[in-house]
Amino acid sequence: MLFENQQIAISELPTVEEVQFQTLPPQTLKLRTISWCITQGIMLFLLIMVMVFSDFFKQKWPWFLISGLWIVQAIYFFWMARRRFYAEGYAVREKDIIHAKGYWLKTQLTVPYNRIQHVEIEQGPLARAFGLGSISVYTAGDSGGDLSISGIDYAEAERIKQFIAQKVAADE
Amino acid sequence: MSEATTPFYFQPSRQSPVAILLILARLIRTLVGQFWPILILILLRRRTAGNNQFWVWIGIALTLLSVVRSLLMYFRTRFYIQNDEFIFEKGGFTRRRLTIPLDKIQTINFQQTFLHRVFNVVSVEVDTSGTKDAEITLNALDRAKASELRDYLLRWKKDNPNVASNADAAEAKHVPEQTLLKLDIGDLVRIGLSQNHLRSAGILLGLFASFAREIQPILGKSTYRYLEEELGLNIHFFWSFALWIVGFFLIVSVLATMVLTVVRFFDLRFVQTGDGFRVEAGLFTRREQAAYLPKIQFLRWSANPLQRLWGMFNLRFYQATGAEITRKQTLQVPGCYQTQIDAVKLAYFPASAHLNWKWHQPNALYFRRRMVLVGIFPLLGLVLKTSLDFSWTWLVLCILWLPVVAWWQWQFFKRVRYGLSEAGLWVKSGFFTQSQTLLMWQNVQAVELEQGFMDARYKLADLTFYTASGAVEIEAIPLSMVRQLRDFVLAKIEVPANLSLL
Repeated sequence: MLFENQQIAISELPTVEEVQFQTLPPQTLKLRTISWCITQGIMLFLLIMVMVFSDFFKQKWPWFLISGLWIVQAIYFFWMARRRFYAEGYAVREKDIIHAKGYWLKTQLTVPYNRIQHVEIEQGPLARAFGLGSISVYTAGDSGGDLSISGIDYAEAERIKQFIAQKVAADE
Repeated sequence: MSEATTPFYFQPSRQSPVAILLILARLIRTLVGQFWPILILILLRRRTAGNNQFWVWIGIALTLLSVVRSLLMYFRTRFYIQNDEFIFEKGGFTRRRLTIPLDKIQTINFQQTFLHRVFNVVSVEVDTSGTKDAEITLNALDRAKASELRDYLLRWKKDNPNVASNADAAEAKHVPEQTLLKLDIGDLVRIGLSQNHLRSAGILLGLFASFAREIQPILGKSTYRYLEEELGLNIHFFWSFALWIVGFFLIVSVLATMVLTVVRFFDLRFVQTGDGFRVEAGLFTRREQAAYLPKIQFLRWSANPLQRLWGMFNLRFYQATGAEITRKQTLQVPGCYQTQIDAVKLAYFPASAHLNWKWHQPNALYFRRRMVLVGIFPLLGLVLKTSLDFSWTWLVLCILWLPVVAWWQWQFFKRVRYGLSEAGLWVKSGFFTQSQTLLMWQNVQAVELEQGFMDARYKLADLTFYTASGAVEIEAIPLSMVRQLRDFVLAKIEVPANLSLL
């Protein structure tokens, strides 16, 4: 028999719903706000350069239009960063790891430990200042089933990595 | 195999000397591929150019360099098996040595170009599950030796099932090889005719346009002007008869597809082996590809209206490959009939025939979502185009767009079916080209639940199953069911696996 497995009663299954998701540390929101400032700053700088050196902006109305658009999108992304932050969370369970995120499109990705190929931890210079990092969990093949949590407490990421390594070793 | 001597693969071996020729041929082909615009330039300007000698010297230097490199590559390529590791030394001007544990080897494919067949050698591609650097390609090896090597590697994998990868290979019943399908010339004609010619005509048109643009700087003027002035072709005549051109490209596309089909699938043999399937096909380049059952992630078979008329299907195996190999290892068998599909289904997913499948349809939101995507967004573009640059054709297109798309999407939506069972998923979808996908839960690598803001309002969600060779998605299903299904699948695959895939 190719598929030998004990019968599972549906009602006894552990459900993802009851999981308490761990939220990201508040420093992450600070970090994301800073990177929001940086991107918006660069965008504003480029816009001003274009507006100063382009003939098109000799007239008045393009100024209003462009700056209006810039303000709207800046506010939108500021607000979205917050919404996304509060919607994001992860849960490390006995047999799998779950990452929930998204505001308009909510997703919950679950990767069982026995499907994990390797785990990576990364830390950018800005994140280092806040003691943050990101953890990525890779599965086999070119599948999109790779899980990546950025803006997680660095020590926590290390702990999760250790834990997964143990689990993966125990499976083999 | 002879018992007296040790097999060649236990001592450092070289490829067949034919490899020198093949490496050289490939080098020259890459060089020509890289520098063809310059070649055209030289050919076109030959009459005027004074310093012809310069180019001749460059040509000689490049040829010499290629020959030296090919010789180096031949003499520096050696391979052997030692302590259950495949050792591969390679290099042209730089040298490398790769050591691959035998259990990391995924598949071994043979390939024969026309040149290979003249000398009765094959090129051997060893697909590993490591990084993409660790891929091994032997340019030429005697056919007998290659089979010997493959037999040894497969035997090794069977004898060492506990080394993770091929748990099922040992259990595989020793079924004698059985040819499932052989394509004759009539099948090939049907396959060629039933390809999507509108698409290939479009691609041809695009290729033609980009080619015309690319040689523009060489000709020194617009390609169309060049054709008009140098060759006396009247391009305006051409363009004003756009329909004529489309017809022309359609005919070209049908002819080209026929030729390509014959070249690619000539004398196709689809064989069921003890532990999977094998496909051999090709006129000049004879490819031999294998799909091992434990590596097959899911199956998909499809048929467009013409193929349905003939009862033919296009079958695809989605296979697991090495972790970082970017190209998907899909194995395609065109021109399958229901019997072959059934045989493959039975081998990949034996329980599929007698399982109790529960069939579900997506919510109507699925239809509305697709309407917005392929109906309303393009319509906005069309309206914008029509209002800026009015013409009657565009107006008619605008008016017809929504009803046609609505009809098409409704037909599409009506046919989507998700079959659930305790062992796997079966998806049926498509209107023109109808396709079916069969996935076993045990092949799932990760599960993703997605819920857009509209889904949330209707208490619906999508579920994506990631495998080691792409994903299968089910859309617009009640949230409670999606949750239950996810928990069920997770529980299935989290059972300590003696079925682990890689």
